Amino acid sequence: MRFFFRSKQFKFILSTVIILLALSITFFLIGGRISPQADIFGTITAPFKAAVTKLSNSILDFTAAYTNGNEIMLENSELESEINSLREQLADYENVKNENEFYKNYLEIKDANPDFKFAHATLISKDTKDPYKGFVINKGSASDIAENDPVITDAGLVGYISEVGLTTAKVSTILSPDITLGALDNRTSDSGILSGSLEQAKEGNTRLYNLSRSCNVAIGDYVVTSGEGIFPEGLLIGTVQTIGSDEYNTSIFASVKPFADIENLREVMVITSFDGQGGLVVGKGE
Amino acid sequence: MLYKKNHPLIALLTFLLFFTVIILNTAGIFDLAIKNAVPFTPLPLLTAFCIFSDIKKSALAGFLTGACVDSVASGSYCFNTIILLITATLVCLTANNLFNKNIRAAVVLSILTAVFYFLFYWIFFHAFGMTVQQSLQYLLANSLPSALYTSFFIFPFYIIFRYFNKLKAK
Repeated sequence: MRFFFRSKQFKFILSTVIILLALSITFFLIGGRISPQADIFGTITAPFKAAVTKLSNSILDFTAAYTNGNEIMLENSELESEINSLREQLADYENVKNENEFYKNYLEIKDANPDFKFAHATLISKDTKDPYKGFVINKGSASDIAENDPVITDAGLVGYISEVGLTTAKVSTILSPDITLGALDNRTSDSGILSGSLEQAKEGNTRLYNLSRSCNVAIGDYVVTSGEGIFPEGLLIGTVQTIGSDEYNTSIFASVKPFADIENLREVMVITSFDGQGGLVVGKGE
Repeated sequence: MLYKKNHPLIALLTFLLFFTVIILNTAGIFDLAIKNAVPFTPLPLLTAFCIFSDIKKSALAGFLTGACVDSVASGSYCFNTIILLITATLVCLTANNLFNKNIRAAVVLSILTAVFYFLFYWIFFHAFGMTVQQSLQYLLANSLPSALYTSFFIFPFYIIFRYFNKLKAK
């Protein structure tokens, strides 16, 4: 084995590791960009990931359609073939209906916020090791998506673009402690800071903390963005699940269940532009 | 060390196997997680491949696998590319010089690589981002179970690559 350490192969591998380390440090310092080798492979594999994800979603949809149609099939066994044909049509109809509903809901957000510019994106892969449910979408800087752009669904805020490649981008979710954003209780206007934690992420929740002891936050209240930092004002985040106080009993925190179903996302919208964009980045790190 | 001639069909099947495992792992279709233990299936695949490969192929496989994983991993920059390149090189060196290429050696190497990977993953991404108690809890409740669970996947991959190796020897 000692001969290996004197060989050209060892020197080549060592040089590669050193170059990669230098790249890592550079991209860590720059921030917001996917490292070049990962960007290249991300771009190459993106269509395959998208195809596999689409296939998986179709299987899930078909299974759901089959389960839903089971009762009808039992009652009308003699019309089985016809039902199958109708079910296929229904699946197509549901797809179109869902698509229309998807765009209609965003249209409502767009109507309420005419300054918003959206980019529609599909989720193509997930980081299975990430306890905060980070994922990758099929759009990148080529589609005008930039670092720190907010990511939403029609239900509410999902997260922000943490790294951008040419044709893909990584999204950090609101479950992550990397994100800290100003948020307020929609009913009482009590403001606090929203950030994730490992314990909350296990439950699929995030945390609104630094609420004053005199606040009137109650379980079931809606939490929205306050407009500070990288997120526009008034985006729905989630609903208050539980309320507690910190270990020194100086402030209140609330556990918030996001409206967006972060675990089962398929499609999202990236807000590429809005009035007041480019404010102080309080969205990253604590 | 006896390196057999290249076999285009086996090379193609190996490529497809890597591609499928990486895509399935990153697409999140089959959720193989058991509570907090989330397996990282490309790692035992790489380990099994490196046991039967030469150093150049192992290093290249480590680099490519790492780059593909980095393309989806949150905030990883080049972490996976570096760690899998080093892992692949070390596995190949160890398998060719210190160990036999039997299933016991494969299991030991798989456990070592999984612990190595998840330990570094924890150091880089979780050890300093939370309190000491939380990070140790994460190590014991998430990283180590994931490492052990991941190492179990060596069995199918080892059998496949041992079969490929036998085919090449014919």
